[in-house]
Amino acid sequence: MSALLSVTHVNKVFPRTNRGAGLRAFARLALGRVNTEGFSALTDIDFSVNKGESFALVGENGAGKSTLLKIIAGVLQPTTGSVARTGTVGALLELGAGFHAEYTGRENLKLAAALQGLVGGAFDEKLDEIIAFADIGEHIDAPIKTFSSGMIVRLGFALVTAMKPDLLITDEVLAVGDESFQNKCITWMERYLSDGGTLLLVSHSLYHVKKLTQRAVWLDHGKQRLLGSSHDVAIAYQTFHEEKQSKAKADAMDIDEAMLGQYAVIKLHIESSDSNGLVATGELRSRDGRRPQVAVGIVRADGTPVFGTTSEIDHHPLTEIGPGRFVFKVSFFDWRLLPGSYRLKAHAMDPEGMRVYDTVEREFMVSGKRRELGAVDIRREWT
Amino acid sequence: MISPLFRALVEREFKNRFLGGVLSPIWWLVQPLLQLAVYALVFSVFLKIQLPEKYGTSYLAFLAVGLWPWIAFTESVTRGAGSLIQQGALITKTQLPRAWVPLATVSVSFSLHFAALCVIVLLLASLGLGINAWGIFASLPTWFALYLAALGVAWFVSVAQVVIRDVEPMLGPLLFLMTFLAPIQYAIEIIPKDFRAYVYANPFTHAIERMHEVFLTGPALPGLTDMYLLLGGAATALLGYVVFKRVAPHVDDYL
Repeated sequence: MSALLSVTHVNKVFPRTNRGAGLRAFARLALGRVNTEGFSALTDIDFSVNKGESFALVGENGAGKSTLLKIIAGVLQPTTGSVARTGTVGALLELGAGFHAEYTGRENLKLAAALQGLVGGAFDEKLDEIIAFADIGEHIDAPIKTFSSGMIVRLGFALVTAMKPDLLITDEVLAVGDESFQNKCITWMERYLSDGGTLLLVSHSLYHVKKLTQRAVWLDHGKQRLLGSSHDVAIAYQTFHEEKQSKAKADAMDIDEAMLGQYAVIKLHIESSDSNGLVATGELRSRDGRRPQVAVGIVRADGTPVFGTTSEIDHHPLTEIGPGRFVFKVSFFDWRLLPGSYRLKAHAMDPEGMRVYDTVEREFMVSGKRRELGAVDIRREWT
Repeated sequence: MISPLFRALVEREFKNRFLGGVLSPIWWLVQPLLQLAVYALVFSVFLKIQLPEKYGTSYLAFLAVGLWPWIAFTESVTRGAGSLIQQGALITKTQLPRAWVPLATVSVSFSLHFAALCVIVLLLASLGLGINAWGIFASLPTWFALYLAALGVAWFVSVAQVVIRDVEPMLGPLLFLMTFLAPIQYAIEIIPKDFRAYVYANPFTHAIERMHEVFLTGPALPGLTDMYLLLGGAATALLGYVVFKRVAPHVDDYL
């Protein structure tokens, strides 16, 4: 396969634009020296995209995704490193990029098309098609400043559909526009992809990432944190987010402070786990010697409960192995959990199964290539 | 063959100047005529500036042929200085060749002012004010030299303005000073002999003198002056372009 795009050790440093720094900066640039001091927006980005193999960039706000896209589109120069492109490139970088508010939709289209190499008769031929796709009607001859943001995006996207570039670069533009236009775009993109087009996508929608692309890179503070299949990257990125959120969120479980230590989980061990189930063992301590109950539950990495039960609900008393020491072993099987990162939780409870005294957690992963959403693969039938 | 993209840029530049107003289509002519009327009123009527005999009898003709190329130059440079910032949205988000932005600005300024001067010259000639209408052709090398010089300076100041930002405010007074250091509103002969060297040190003096020559005093035929002017213009353009090429790819960091 031939590389449509090669990004080779790209670094980007934005100079700090302090007042008064300009004269020195200008002299340095005019003498042809590269400025390597300042804010490092991208560090050693290195990957390539083959023809027909769509690619996604994921990462938090400020991770450098848009900067990287601009460099790839040839709009911004990398400080060091290089970007090589073969074939035509169409870029949808920002809402109405390059559009001038005072000009009409038609005039703006003309310049935007010329910028992408579509001129003269070829442009006139495509114009009706573009206007029809954008669904803008007679507004095309009104100044852009009277357009809604959705209309501007539609116009930009419509132009790209007419260009059919070898590589299409989009930056979150699908987030704008109404439902029906989004669907139109997705439909177009799927056809474009099946016709052999290559997409380079920035999206916060992991659904779109998994649906539209095969490979992805996760950018974290300008560095390449993970490069791999869209599926793996999406899961790792999602897990990272869920963990970040759960840290911020206090444990919702109500623990009785005064009675703390009366009953406690002193051991919790996941013996085995795979995509079908899990076997866990644990030990509880009871200060007063009474037989405690144990609650076991499965939550997603962000703390969203998936399932929970207790030894009391299931009528399975814990086994006493010594004074105040009780053990349990529980197997979950055929659980149909979707791929992702989860936690097993065990809570020590009083013998009545009323109050929670202690919580211990263990993480585990469910791997797989499935693309359904949510936590559980609910059985279904289409008729 | 002019690139359609460049043509679109030039079209845009034209429209930027004359967008929306009722008088848009004739401003390019009305504006300079009004300006000429003001200058004529101040210098000819109020100040009663006397011209040496060799320039003929019409102060208006003298002023017009020297003033227009100079207006084209100063306007090109001033507009050029802000051009990258003005088109910032375009150059930071698309792959537009950046050198074209000042190029379009300067080209539009020069073509408008050249056209305006042609109209004025023909008008004055038809009024019998002793102006050589054929000078329009003979002045072409001078115009072109000024165009090249303006282009070089515009390329330089456009990137300098983005990075330094103090350039554009300095340009106004500087160009204003140079306006008085060139024999545009006065004839060089009025200056005391001891000071003439300063005026001749201004390269634009030679361009303005050449304009006087081709339109008023002769000889109009191409000469050595044309060659020197063209060489100077070409050198300026080249120098400006070299600096522009180095700095322009990095202006995004400062826009």
